[in-house]
Amino acid sequence: MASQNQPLRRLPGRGRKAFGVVSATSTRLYLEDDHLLYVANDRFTESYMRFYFRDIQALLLCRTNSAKNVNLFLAVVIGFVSLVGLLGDYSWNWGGAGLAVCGSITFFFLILLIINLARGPSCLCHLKTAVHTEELPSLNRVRVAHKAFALLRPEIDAAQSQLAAPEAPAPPLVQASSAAAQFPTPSFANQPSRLRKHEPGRFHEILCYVLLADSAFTALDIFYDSIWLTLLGSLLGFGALAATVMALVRQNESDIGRALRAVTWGSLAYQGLMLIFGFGFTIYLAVKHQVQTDNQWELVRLWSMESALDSPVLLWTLMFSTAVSLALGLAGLILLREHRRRSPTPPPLDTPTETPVTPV
Amino acid sequence: MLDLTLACPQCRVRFDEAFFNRPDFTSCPGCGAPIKAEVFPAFFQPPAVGQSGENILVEGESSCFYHPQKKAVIPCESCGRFLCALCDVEMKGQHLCPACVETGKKKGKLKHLQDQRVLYDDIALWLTILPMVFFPFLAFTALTAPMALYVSIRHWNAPTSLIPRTKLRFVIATVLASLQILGWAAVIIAFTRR
Repeated sequence: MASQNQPLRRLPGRGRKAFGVVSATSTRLYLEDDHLLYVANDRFTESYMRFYFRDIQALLLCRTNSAKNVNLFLAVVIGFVSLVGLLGDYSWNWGGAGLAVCGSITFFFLILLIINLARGPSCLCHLKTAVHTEELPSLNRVRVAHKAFALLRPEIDAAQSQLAAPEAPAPPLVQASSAAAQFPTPSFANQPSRLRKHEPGRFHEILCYVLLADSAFTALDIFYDSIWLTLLGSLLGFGALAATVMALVRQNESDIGRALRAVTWGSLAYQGLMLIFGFGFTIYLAVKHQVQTDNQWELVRLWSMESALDSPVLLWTLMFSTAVSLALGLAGLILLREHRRRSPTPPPLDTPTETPVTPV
Repeated sequence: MLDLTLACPQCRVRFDEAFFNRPDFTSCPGCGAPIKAEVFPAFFQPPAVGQSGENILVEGESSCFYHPQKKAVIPCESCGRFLCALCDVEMKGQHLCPACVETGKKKGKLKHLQDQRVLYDDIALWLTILPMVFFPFLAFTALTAPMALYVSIRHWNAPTSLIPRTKLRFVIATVLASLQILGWAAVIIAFTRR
């Protein structure tokens, strides 16, 4: 129950307001006498928003996969660095220094993984009033959000206790469902209105074709050592990256299905992995051939000198790359065809014509 | 008619009362993401209708300062001007006119209307610390130290964050800036004595 002149109470959670890749704005929530204070700190200024308890209509929580994706990324990095460390010691005789470096990097990412796991699943939290819906970035974990809701609920209930009971009866609370239907979808009479734009998927189509082409050229690269193949492969790689970014931008807030979105994100993850591998392998090649690469052409020449049939690591990587590109490209095309079949392009808008007004 | 639906935070597809106030997460009808909606009585209330003020019916009645044709119902507690129901802005038990609200917000007198504050203590602290963190920028302390000292002294009593905090940042910035200035003085003295 809110009391007069109560000191500020900080709600659990601290988040970053999403703005680009790096954001310096951190957000926190505080409880005051009669309102919730949202504080956004961008290091040199603070901006505030006040949500009075009597005005808060709803608190929305939506679980996201951000934490899972971060866990996956960290696990892949840990696995990759550990593998490089073990390979380095076994195949290239790195010795203690190499193992120490790889071990330190692995340990660092392991700590990050443990922290991320301990924080629990991630979520999006929105606060709705009569005039707007505001995201609360500080409540970005389910556990933290539930703690904050437990503190907020009594204040809001107390402030709104005078309001009339709603005309429509509140829906009955349903017990937790079985594991088979973990998150049931209640039926409702009217179809919900869809506010998402229609996306025909042109960039997704380009991405799929580039991935298929990349798969073909990578497969050729296994058997033929040619500087032009290597160069073309690099160009296709960059093209795929550009198409992936464009596809991700276009699919945001569109009607593209979850599976196709997953393929696009999977393609980004795969290309990120290939970039990391490429970087590491380039360093290995430079050390092995004792050359100092001054420009990109030298790098491409270095890559083309290495035969996949002589290097097991390169062979397995190229085979993996061929398989993944082929799988992503084909899956993407099939899902895109399904998406286009289900949601045809809306007809063009008719140009408005002036209709004569009949005088009364 | 009231819109009794909410939008999923992820896909923005709207869902209705069947999803409200459930104890566990349920699947969004649009994207299938697990969602939970806690809805309060304010959601079911129709929007409040504002008052437009009564017209003056009897000659001689007090009129609003801003709307001479409307009846005054209350004076402004800040400037004393008569206000109609439309102009009366009630905040935290105070009745003010729009002009006083604007002035109060600009001058910082109405704390509950402030939506931004400059953190001078953080600025002073970062001015002293940042050049020291990156060694190549250490020379910039010749400029940033006096700036930090000026900011600390000039804005010592200025309101900082709404969240209560001590003057510790100002103190640290002042001490560091003073040490940096003394350091530069020592360097200059040593250089001139050569």
